[in-house]
Amino acid sequence: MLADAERILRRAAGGPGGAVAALRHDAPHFRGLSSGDAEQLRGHLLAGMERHPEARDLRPHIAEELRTSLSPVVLAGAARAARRFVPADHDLRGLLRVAAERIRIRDERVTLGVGETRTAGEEIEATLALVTDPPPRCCGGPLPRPGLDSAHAAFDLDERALLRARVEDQSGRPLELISLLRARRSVIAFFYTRCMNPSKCSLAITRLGAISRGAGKDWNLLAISYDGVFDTPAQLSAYGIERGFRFGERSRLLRCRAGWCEVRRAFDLRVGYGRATVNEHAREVFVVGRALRAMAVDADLLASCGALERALRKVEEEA
Amino acid sequence: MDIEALRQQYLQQLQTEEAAAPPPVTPEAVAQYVASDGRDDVKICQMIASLPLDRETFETSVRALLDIAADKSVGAVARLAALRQLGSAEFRAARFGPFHAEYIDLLRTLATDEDVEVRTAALERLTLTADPHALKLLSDGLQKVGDALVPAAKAVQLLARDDHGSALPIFRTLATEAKGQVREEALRALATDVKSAPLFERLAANKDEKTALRHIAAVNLKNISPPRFAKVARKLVLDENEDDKLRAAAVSAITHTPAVAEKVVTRRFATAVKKLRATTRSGALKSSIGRFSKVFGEG
Repeated sequence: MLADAERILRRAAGGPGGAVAALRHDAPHFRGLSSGDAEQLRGHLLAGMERHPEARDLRPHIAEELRTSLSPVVLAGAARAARRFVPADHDLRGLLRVAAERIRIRDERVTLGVGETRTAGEEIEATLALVTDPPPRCCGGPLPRPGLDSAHAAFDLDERALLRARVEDQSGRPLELISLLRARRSVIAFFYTRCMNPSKCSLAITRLGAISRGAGKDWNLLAISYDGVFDTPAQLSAYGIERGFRFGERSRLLRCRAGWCEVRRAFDLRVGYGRATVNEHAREVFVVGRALRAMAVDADLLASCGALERALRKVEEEA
Repeated sequence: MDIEALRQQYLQQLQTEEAAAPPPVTPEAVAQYVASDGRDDVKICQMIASLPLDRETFETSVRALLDIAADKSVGAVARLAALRQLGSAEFRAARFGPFHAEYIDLLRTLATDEDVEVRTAALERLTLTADPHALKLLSDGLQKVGDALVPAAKAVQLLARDDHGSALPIFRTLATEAKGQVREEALRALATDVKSAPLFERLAANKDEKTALRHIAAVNLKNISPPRFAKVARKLVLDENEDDKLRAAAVSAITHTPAVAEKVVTRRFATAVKKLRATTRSGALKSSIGRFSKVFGEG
């Protein structure tokens, strides 16, 4: 695994996205792997970034893993990669402490180098030990909240590609995705019901559910499954109900019946597939204007209606 | 009975049971006994059962249990008892946290133990959390790349616990090529596999296959594709040469699954079912038709 990771990082370093592109969930080297194997590889790739000469755009990847991952090997890798930032980065130190707490009850020994075996907790402690000054926040202090600054650049969705996308909602009603998007501004989250990480899909749908129960919004709340074959309308409906999602004309959980590849390409989704289903994915939320101008936003913005409204306004203005 | 008398009786009962119970053992005493000459596995099991996992001794008890489970010189029965107690200790996640990594390491080692019961116990626990190491051992065994650590049917059952279905391709092969219980388990493991719908359809309709297999295939098909199941179910019910148990199951599925009923139930079909009730000798089929008639009338 170590040799594989080194080879992948070397190859990616010469590409347009730099070495960090190797961490994308949809990268070819993750294709066909089981979730466990994909996590092993991700952990080794992250660990390999500790001393990699090029670390452009690496920090958000580390922060995201520290925020959400439940995998000891991924967290151990992220802790190693964090060593190049930690001395000057208080926020990352906060995230490391949170990750240490999360992994405490499910920690495992992982081997990231030749003969080096440590638990994820020990890797995190070793990273935190590089800093001698006291923690900037005491236990329980607030973690950095994402804002609109963390939003990505806006882009135009490929209209012709989306024309081929046929979706079906939780009640089995067939719909055209493009008609939904043109009808009104939309917040779109991607998810799948078999996701085992409560900080990812389950949390996203719970947060969307809270928004769906509020009043006065003139936008669509849509969540599209990464796993349209498994996530039947009955599955989507049960998943939404369990998370307090109030279904309606503007609030739907969807699966693609046709044109999923086009949707993946149009949104440049960071999702990888094993032999049966998703093996890894990022948390992906987009705001989309009626003119099909879209912008990826931090998934934690789902916790704030106001922030989503500002993001929607911004993307409409850009159009 | 007077409520106060009942309370007194209950307290008395508790006292008697407490007096009869063996005194709690200290973790140190267990460790000392395990290290002694002439130790006896049954006695070790008794000591393990009396080992308290309370606030004061939790850490030392867990330490002792991990040591016993890892000790190959101790009999399998005692190591299994230690594993069971560790399973209880694991429920106290926060206290168990510092031992978790070592526990998982130990289980991974025990997954290839000489004793099949120890191997099975370790793999049972590891597959509950889709441990990649355990899943690989099991799938290697099924594909004959590595040693078969547990019987093949058991391996399928354990692999099927992986929600992400990493072993689906193996199950698909076994569902067509394996025999007996392994094939049955593989079919069960494919219960939510949409890609296997054509296989379920073929199996459910094939009279040369065993009834048990056809039944599993039919149930799977009903769950993943009611319209496809509807076609199969209709044929099963109306074919006089079909197995009565399967016909009863098909009538039942039609009765209780609206998505199937809307494709199958017509006046003509209901009349045919009514006739069937008069001619069949099968009690199961008669009662299934009885329920059908309550829902849809009698043609």
